[in-house]
Amino acid sequence: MKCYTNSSKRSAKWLSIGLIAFSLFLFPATELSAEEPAERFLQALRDRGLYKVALHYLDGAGKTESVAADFRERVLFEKAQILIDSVAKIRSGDEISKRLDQADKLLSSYSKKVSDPLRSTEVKKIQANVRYFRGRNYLKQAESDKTPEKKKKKYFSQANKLLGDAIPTYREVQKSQATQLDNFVIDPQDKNSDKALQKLQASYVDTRLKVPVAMEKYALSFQGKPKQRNSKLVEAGKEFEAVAVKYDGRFLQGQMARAFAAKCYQLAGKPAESFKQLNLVFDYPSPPKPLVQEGLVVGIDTWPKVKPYPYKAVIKAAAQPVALLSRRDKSNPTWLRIQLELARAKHKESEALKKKDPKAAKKLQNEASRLAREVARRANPHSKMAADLLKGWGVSVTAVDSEEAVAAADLTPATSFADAKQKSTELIQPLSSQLTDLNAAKRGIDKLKGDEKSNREVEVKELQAAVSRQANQALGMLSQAVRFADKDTPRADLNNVRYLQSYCHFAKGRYSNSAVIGRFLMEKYPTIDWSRQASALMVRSYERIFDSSTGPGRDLARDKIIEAASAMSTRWADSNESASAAVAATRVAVLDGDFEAADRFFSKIPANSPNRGPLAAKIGQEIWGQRKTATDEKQRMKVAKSAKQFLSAAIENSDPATMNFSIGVAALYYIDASRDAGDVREAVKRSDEMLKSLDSNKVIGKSTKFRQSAYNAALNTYLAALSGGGVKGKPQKWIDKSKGVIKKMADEAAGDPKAVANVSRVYRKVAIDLEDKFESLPNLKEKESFAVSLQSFFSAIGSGAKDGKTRLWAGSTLLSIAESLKSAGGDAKGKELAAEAIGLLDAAKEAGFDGDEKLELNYQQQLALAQRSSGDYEAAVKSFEAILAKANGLNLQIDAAKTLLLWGVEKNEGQPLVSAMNGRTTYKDPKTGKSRKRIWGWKTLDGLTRGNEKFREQFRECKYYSVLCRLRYGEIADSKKAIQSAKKDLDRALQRFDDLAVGPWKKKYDQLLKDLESALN
Amino acid sequence: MKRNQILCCGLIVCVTICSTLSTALAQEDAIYRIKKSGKVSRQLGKIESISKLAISFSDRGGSENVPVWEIDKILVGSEPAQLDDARDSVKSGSNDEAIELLGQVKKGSNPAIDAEVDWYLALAKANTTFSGGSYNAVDAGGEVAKFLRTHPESFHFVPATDLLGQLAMAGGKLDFAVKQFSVLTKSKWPEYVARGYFFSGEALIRGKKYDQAKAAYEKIIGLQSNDDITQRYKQLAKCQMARVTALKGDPGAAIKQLEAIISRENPDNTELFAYAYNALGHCYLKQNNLAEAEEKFLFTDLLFDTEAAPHAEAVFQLANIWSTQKQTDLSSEARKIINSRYRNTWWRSQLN
Repeated sequence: MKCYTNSSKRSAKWLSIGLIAFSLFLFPATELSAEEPAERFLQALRDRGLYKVALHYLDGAGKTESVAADFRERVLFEKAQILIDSVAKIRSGDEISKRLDQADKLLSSYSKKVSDPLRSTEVKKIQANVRYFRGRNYLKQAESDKTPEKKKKKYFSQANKLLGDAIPTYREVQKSQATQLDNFVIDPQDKNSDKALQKLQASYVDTRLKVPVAMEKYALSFQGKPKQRNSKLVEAGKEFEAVAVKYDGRFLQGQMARAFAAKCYQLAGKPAESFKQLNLVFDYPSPPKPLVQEGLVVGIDTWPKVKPYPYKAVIKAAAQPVALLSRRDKSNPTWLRIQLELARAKHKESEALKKKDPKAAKKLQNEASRLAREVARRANPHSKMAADLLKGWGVSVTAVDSEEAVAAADLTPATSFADAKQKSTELIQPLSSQLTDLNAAKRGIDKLKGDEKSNREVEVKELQAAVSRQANQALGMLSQAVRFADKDTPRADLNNVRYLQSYCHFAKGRYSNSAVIGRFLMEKYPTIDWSRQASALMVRSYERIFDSSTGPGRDLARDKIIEAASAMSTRWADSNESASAAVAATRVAVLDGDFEAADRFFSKIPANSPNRGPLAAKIGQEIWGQRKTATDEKQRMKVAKSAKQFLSAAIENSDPATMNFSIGVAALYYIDASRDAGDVREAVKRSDEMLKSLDSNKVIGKSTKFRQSAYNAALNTYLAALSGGGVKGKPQKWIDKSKGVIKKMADEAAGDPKAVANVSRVYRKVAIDLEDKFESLPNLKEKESFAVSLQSFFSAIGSGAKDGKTRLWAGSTLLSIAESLKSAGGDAKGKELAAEAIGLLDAAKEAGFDGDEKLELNYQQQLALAQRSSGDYEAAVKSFEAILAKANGLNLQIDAAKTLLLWGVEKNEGQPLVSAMNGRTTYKDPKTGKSRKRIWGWKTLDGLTRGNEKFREQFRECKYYSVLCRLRYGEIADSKKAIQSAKKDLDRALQRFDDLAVGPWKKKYDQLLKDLESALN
Repeated sequence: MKRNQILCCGLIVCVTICSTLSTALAQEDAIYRIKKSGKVSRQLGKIESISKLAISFSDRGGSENVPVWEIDKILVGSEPAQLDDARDSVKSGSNDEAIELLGQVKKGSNPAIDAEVDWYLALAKANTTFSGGSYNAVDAGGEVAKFLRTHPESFHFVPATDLLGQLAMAGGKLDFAVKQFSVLTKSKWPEYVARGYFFSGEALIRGKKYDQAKAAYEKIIGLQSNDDITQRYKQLAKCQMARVTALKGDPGAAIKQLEAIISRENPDNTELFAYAYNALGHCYLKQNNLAEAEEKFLFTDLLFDTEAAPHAEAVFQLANIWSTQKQTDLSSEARKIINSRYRNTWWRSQLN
């Protein structure tokens, strides 16, 4: 059994709380305002888990005058503390050992400097704790199945040494503290004196309790020496017993010591002694849940070895806890093993009663069979044992539970409150397993079809009817109990009855009823037993109502969950019920978009809750979805940061190589959120990890959709890095990374038209991003440098992409960049890029456009533009004319006119400028028979666009180039008249159209006006 | 032998004396008085006279007027055994058995005995009505009215008037009920004075006469007496006042008042909580918030179902709410309860 793993955890928790508590006790926070706030700063670092920084800070703090002297004195101690704290988040056993070893050494050095006996003792105690931790850590490693045999021996030996060291140190501390307590004199003038005494007393008790814990672990470190091991275990058991005798009336730990004693005896092979201690455990009045659990865990290994088999003791210990097991409990193999033991005990009692009271014996046997059958039917390590037991009793594994329950239940009217309560409990017992069966039958029903679905529906109906029948019978009996209750009935018993009523209503699906009872108990009897459990049921009920309702009913249920979770977190702060309520409240708040409330409740979910990760993932994704509705950049950033925080919680401690699909999706969102929140460095780190895990993680790597999403996320991140984002690395690095991702995408997309289309979309997006990035660069030098990277990127795309469309995109983007570069003055590089673009466009033509005329036309246009950019204006104009012969369009005409303008300006020729103004190549329109020009020229374009609001942007362009064209013509032809006419035209236009020189055009028009004025002067 | 003979003779003498003594005692009347502690003690003597508010009773210590609120029951010396058995049966809820026992008693020998027989018969039939038995409110009311006509000076007069009012209310005769309850308010029997106002208020609410209902509840709150019973009705009246406030159009204020009562008072006071939650239910109904109203009435239904009157109302309201919400299964389940357990109540007659 895993019994001692549980207690180890408990002991560890116990000790870690102790560690923190003692350090606080030792050094109350004191700061002088004139000095550096070292303590507060250190605490802040500790709170945020920045242990490395803290250690670094402490290195310096020891030598800095501005830090308070008393703080400087205890730097070694603080360092040790930081090292101890830091191990909580470390998985590697070796690393934990290393840090604790370092802490131990620091504490040893520090203890030599401490003169105050109280402090000295406490430091010694922390040293003992550290040794215990280290020893326990080695023991854990030694016991791990993953540890190679060779290392095991070494680890056991190290554990033995450290634990052996810890015990005398604890004893020494215990002795010193006893003396200190004896000598403690309360100073009536000092108001803290009394508190100091209390703290010392608490520390003493804590030390006393730790001794047997360390002894037990020490005993277990005697691997391969059973005699010594068992003798040490007996010693530990006796020590635990001594602690129990002294403290069981005062502390839970005192009672727990009794159960730990039983465990030590059981491990030492002394079942009789263990049994004796267990009886004492279950004799405690109203034993708390952890104690009962510990006792039962030890019991299942002890009771079968006790002769004769102590069935009465087993029933006494296990009957009630098993009756109240939740569904979640029943998925825990340890609880199922306990249930099986109870079944065995009931069977034994049934056998003992057979002659004396056959009716009672039959009832007991039915109960035993039902309990064992439930274990046999569930997938768990004990199902075979359960099946064997049933076989031995001659009972089938498949009999119907409800029949047995009815047979076992006593439905005769109750004679008293206790009688009614007992009968109700018996009636309720089978409900839990019936509900499990019902839920199992309901699961996946929507996916079924035909006969299979209708059969399943019938099964669900029957199971639901059985549950309702059983619940109704129980409710009837519970109602009798309520009527028998009087002022002498203990409130806790009546609360129990109310809780059971609530449970029955829940089982029947009457969630409103269940919720009302729970709410009443929470509000009116919060301090009485069972109110907490009933409240948890209330929250579950409201959740069911929330999930199945719409409109006001849903809103009301949500409000009630949130209200209940708030109340529960105040009343039962650290309880499981409160944590579950926080989970429910977080969930409903997320579903209804109330992220503030979600955030509030999420913080109340314990870090070890299994719901925390999935919920955080869900919340993070929901919040991330909200960014689309953000109205401004500030809000968008806020949403991204908030999403990042939750998604980070969702993926924390998850290994990319083994994470499941849900966490994988959260990780993708996390990359996006990190990037959007400005943390590009983190996004890059996670993207790299994600890409690696695609091949190693079989779960997420299998999904094509997931892979594509991961590629998209990575690509966007690398492009963000390319744009700066506070990350190091030359643009080429990010372009290379992006190229790598695109290549993978393209390789995986081959053969799948949809995937190919997606890759094409990605190219387009990347092209736009890169172009934007290029345009945003401030000067020619940077643009030229970036252009080199882009050249290689687009060339790679051209050769990587197999389709004409993508190649066309690559070519046209490169062309656009070439033009931009030329206009910025980078003529030579621009031409080089344009030549590269022509190559890409040729490759596009070669790949073909599958008869897509638009693409074909686009290609020709891009080619013409590329010819223009490369300086071959004549070819470019001819290309435009050829295109315009097939398809006309405003933008095409603008490009053609612009080509003629550039031709004239570049070659310093007047004719192309005249053509640019008045048009070129006359032809006869076959429809009208009238003469027209293939290239319209700026004059026609100006006239066509000026009167139409729809073409205002084109008008700005046409007017600008028409004036520029005349200016350049005037300059080449040395015609002031032409320049004057151009200026007059511009003045008139600016006067008439107040929206002409606006936006990016303002600067251009202003410059044009200046050029005109300067040319005229 | 001699010694045995003497013992035997002594025993005979003793039995004879005891028998004579018991016959003499049996001829005496008895009055069972409720002490301040709540315990009941028997007092033997003679009933001199009976009036609506007191019984003049004499014993060896002299004669005194015992006020009706101190009387648990009387025993008329010459009454047949079935009469007291019937009293016990009524007390334990075995009303059918009581009716049967009382049918065996021959009347006419003693007016006091006749009055007792008629009262317990009327009471048993009325109880049967309230517990959903075979007598309807009109029949049982007729029996009580007959008792009041025949025995106008009975010391059961005040409880009988109350009973008549309750039955009238159950039968839907609200004005008549109010009339009976107003008789109670003048009875000078403190408990029934408060009850009179309280149930007047209830009947007036049902008749939608909210201002008059409010006035009735204000009377209770203004009562000078501070004993447990008056306190009880004062608390209940506060709930009902809040309900009236809601019905008159200010449910928000009423909710605040009722929530204060619920959070302050001990929930072991099931009657108060049943009325408080019902009143809260009405507040939410007024706000047209069916989901909250449902929850409030469910509190009464699930946790205070031992309080028959408010429970009947809660179930009735739930039946209507569920019907509006198209939750037909739940609605018909609630209607079933009204039709069986509360079939002789006002709520049964109000079902659609």
